[in-house]
Amino acid sequence: MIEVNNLHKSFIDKKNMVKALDGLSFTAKNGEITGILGPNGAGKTTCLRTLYGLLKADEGSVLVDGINVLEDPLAVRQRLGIFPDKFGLYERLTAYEQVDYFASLHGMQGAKKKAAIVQIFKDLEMEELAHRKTVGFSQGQRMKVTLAQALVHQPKNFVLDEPTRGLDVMSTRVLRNHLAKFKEKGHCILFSSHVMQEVAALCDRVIIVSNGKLAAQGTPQELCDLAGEKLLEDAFVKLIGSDEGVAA
Amino acid sequence: MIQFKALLIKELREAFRDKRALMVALSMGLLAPIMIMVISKTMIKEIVDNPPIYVQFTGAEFAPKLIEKFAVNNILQFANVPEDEKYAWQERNIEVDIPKDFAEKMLAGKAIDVVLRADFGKKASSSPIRRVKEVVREYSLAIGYKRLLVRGVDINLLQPIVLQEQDTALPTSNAVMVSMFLGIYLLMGAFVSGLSIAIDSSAGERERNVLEMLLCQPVSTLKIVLAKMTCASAISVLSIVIMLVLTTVSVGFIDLTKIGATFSLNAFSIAALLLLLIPLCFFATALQLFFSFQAKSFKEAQSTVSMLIMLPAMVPFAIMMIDDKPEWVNWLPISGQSMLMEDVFKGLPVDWAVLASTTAITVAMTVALVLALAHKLKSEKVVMSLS
Amino acid sequence: MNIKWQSLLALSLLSFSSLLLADNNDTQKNNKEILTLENCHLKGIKSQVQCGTLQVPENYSLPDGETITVNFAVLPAIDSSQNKTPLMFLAGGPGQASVELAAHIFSTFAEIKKSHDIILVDQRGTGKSHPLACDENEVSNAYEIIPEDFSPQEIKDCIAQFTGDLSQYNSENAIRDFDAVRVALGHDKINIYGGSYGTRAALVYMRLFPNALKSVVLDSVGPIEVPIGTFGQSSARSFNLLLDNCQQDESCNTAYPSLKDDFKAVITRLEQAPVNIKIAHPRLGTKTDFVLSRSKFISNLRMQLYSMQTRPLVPLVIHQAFLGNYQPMVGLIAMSEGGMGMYVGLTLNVVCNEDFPKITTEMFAGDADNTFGGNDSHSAWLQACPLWPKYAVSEDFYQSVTANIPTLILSGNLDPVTPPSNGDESAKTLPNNHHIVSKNSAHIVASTPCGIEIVNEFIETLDPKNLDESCLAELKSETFMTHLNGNL
Repeated sequence: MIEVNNLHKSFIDKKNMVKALDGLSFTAKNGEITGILGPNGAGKTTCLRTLYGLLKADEGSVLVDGINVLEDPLAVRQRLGIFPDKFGLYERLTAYEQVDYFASLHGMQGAKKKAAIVQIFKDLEMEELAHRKTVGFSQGQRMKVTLAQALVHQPKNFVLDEPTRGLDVMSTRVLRNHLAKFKEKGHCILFSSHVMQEVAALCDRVIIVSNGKLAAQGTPQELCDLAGEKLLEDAFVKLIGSDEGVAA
Repeated sequence: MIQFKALLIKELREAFRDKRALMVALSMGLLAPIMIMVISKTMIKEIVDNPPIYVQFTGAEFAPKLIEKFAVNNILQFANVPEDEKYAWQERNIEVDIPKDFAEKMLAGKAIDVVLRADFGKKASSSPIRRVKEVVREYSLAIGYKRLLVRGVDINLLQPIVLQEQDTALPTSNAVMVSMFLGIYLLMGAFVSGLSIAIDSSAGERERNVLEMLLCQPVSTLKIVLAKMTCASAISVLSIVIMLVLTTVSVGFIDLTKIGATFSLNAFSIAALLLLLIPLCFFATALQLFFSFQAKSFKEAQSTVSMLIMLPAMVPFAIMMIDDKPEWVNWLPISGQSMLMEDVFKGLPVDWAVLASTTAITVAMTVALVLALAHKLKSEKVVMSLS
Repeated sequence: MNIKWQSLLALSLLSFSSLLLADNNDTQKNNKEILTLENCHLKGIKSQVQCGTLQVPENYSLPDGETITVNFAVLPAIDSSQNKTPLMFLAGGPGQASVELAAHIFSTFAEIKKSHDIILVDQRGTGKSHPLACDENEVSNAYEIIPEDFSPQEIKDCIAQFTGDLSQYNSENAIRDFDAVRVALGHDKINIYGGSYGTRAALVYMRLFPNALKSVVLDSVGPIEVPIGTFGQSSARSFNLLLDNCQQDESCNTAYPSLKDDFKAVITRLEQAPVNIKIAHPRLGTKTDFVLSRSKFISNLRMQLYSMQTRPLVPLVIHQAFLGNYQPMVGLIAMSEGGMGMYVGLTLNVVCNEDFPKITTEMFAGDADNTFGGNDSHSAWLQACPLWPKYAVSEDFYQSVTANIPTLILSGNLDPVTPPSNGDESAKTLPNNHHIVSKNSAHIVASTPCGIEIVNEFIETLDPKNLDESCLAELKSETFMTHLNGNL
């Protein structure tokens, strides 16, 4: 469960004050996939970074399973599985070593760690990749490794920052299936994107962010109803009040 | 501890799999002994070994004893020059003209003019010219002494004042050359060896988009910095150990005693050197990480950090140039180590108080850098520049 | 008038006759501690060396009795690793002080000093080890005095000045001191190099402390079996070789076609009456008398026979004397005017007790039957020794030495005092030795770089029979000064 309350965050960029978050609040519940939708520059990434504790909010709070990220960022990260927007790999390590590294960073060790790694490789159907160095992996293979490293410690909450960017159809399907499985197990999944179809297909609830504020929230159907449009995309454009920054 | 271990293992794995960076790192350790060997050999050759000199004599037949004296000192007639050296000696073109009235003037006790003609400004000729002059001077002096002796003059009259030089340097402190080189190489080794690893694991990781992921993990930035520093420092230490061992072994093959120098490192002095240099390795990598983490790109990190290499090269020279060193120079990193190393090489007793304080200051500065860096990595500025 | 120690000098074996003999100038202090060792400077050596003193009993059978201070120096190896066994240098004479020879050894033994410490100990009775020296009240005029004026009273006066029990200043006690220094410096074993009388000392060392020695070099040997004191035949042999070499050398033979006759003529002339002329003092430039007697002429010539540096002058000196020009002889005397650093009190104390009694009248007679100096080398012994205080020498002292230690024996063929036959004598009884005779060397083979190289190789390999001796063959045969303005 991730609760975001009244987040404010400003940056100084070339002597101009830029307000990235302006009182954003929302909740991502367990057993649900929550999508954050917003145009570029709406504050999605800032919001997520605040969530990880990389940035500190000027005002407001983020609670993950009831723990305030400002007070104990390490404990919060312990409960998060993170799939960053730009994922790189340690190209001189094998996939197994890479996942093992992140498992250890989460404090896992011994047989338990090993079992967890084997399990995640099996779950993601990537056993054959395990002992290859990650240099030269395809985008799909890289995604799988990143996913494995994010999930190996079986986090209660799972945050994905534009995960399907650059993925082919097959990879996207694998990811989608995996998210669905997670949801069934009662995990909380938060997921930022600007791909409408994906959000519409996956998310139980959608949060639309614009100019650092919550523009609207609800199930995809509720949002369409709210905007009086049939397609989520049209609803989105209507709700943020412009067609600026809408991706296909 | 699990986390630190995992961080360190990963860094070491990456470092050892990055063959190019590793080569750069260890090349110092391998190259320094070779450089020292080559330089020492050249110096010995120049100073002690009297390689043959080929001189164009005219009138050699007028002074057979003088020619014989030249030959004893390996100064030979140009006609004897081997084919492969012919060009070089033709270039130098050192000529000695012996007048045909040599014998006549010698027996008459008149001054004989022997001409030495060469390009005195040419560097390659300076050593041969010096040797030719030396032989003529000695030969001439010996005859002069005998002339006076057989005339019933006390030949000691020719030396009214004998300057007795008393060198207060310790008997073992004449290994200056080798130790000076090794000292600089060791300092360079401490700074350069871990350099590429340090840049790769900081600016490199940022450029490969893996740093943000790491910063999102439930691990303190202090541990991250410590692991990266430990890894890069370990490589430096390895490089230095290789350098010390190889130098000790390779210098054994050179007869340094020919130039009145000695160089031997026993287990104790190697231990003392490591004790001195290991903190410096950590200091160096901490400094490099500090700057390269703040660089915006790999390239920028490389150029910023490369400037740091100047430190170990410049500081010892600067110290050599200053005759009256202020006391505090003893305590600073690099300069302190540099001066203590000199003592170790000279076989002087180690000043443990200075060693302890230099080490303490180096360690303190390293700790300060690490803490500052760990703090910086938490700052928003670093995070913002990630993308 | 004071004693003509100068003329007596020519009687002893000597180890190095060098133009540059050094006076000791170290910073050693007279401490009461058993062993002191400190950095110091010795004259003629730029770098610091180590000086020390050791208190030893004057009489080793009375360990609680009187003590004397033994002075020593260590010339540290350039290679400071201390890996190699040091070399102790035993000086000649008897009566030379090793530490006073430091500068000379520092340069000639450079090759050995690269990796071996060199230990120099002033033999008791010399240098700063309770020297047996006499105060010379007035500066002697070496140009006026002649050995024939030598008077017994001067010897008696000198003996009266000595302190201590003279009977303890013998060869065996000297070795006990040397070994005490070895122990005090903490060496299990040392190499020893003895030159001239130093070989006699080395042989005594081999007999007394064979286990303390790793190797021994005997350069220009004074065997136990051959008493020191009869140099008539050996110097005549050396002189005749010089005459032969001059004859075989074209320029020398041209310049001095009748050198042998010239020599005889000068001797005959001087036997009739000493030459007495006015000269400019070689050092002061003032007018002074110069008296040249037969004995003075011969003993000074003999001194030149020791060294390859001075032998080339001999034909010229003889020929000029024949022509009535004595200035070359004056120059030679001037060269050694400052003395040779010989502690003649010790020389006589040792030789008069350990060697002189062993020389029979027949031996003296046989030795005098030669074509160079006749009995010239005997008279000083015959005058001084009967006056000298006696001590009993143990019979063991005269036993041939048979210690099984790697031993290198070196002889110079032109040597006027320790001919190659001496080396053969010692070689007879030593089980592990090799005797090398250098054709073109005189006294002390190790005075050439080649000789030092052989010594160095030997103390590295300890295998006397497999040394590379080839460089000795390359030593040039002697050439001579053929003109007052030099040769061509």
